[in-house]
Amino acid sequence: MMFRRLIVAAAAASLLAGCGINSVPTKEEAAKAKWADVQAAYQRRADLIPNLVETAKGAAQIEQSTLEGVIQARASATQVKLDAGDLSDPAKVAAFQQAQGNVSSALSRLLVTVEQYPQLQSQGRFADLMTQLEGTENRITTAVGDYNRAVQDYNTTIRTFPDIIGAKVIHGAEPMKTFEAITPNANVAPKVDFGTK
Amino acid sequence: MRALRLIALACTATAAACSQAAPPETVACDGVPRIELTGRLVDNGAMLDTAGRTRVSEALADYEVATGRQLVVATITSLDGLQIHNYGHCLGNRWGIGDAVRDDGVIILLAKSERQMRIATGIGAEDLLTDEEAGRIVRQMTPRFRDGQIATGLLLGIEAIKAEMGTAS
Repeated sequence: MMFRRLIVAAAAASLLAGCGINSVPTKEEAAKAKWADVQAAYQRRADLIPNLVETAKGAAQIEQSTLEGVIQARASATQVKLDAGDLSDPAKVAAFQQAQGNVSSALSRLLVTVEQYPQLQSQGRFADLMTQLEGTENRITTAVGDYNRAVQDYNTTIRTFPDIIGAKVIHGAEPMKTFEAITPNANVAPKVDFGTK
Repeated sequence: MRALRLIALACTATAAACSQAAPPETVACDGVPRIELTGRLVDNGAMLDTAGRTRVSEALADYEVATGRQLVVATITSLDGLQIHNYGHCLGNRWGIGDAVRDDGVIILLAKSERQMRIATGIGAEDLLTDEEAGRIVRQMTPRFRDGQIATGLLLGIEAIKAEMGTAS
């Protein structure tokens, strides 16, 4: 009889192995890795802004307040860090989202102003920077989308039977927060178009 | 023994049910149709004539031999409302263009109806061919496309990418 019970115990362990013991941390790690991509994309944008502002300043009559708005929003956003460990904390996620959203809005205002200077847009250095900004915003959108998808995958896993057993009993897993990205008007960024014949 | 076998079977079945398959595909692929990678040039938009196809395919093969990197040209009839950067990014990932470790593949994507183009790079190619450099190459190519010289424009782009990215060490 003892033998039978041992088998049952072993069977239960192997059942759980597939049900939350491995899948929960795997998916959590996947989501955190995606978060690293999001941070890298935002960092890329932060690195680009000083150049963008300098070039805009030198090339056109752009209101000082518009340029300062971008610089200040960037400076404040750099202060707001969100570590992968804090992704279950709604307040911290909201603060990060707000800070990056402010940068996006400030950039939008700059882009709207830039639109009024067609000669600036076609100028070599500025065109390069706009291409980079567009690429950066695209990366942010994709990274945020992929992060949210990984979070949903993880959240579904920890709430669904049978993985919920491993999630609750062994890992004490908390759901993670998805992220809302505000990007400046993507359609303001230059399109690489063949043009008309 | 029979019970044992049954339990083993149950374990396998449950484990299979629990461990979900591959991680979700990138959002960039949302709505992007499955396109078959038929060669280094996938001219689904039929933008090139036979001679042009040969020239471009040969240039792409030469590129691979000379640099040890992969470059693919794809044309499509329409983006069907999708963003061209997502489309290019998605095809590159799905097709696994470039070295698996270096991730240095590049795709040139042309959308016929929208008259748009994109140079999409693998993560490992980003520093070798930055957005800025890719943007400049695009601006060199587009005048040819406007004149209807698709193959010539592509050859120009392939040469420029080769010069920019250099050889894989």
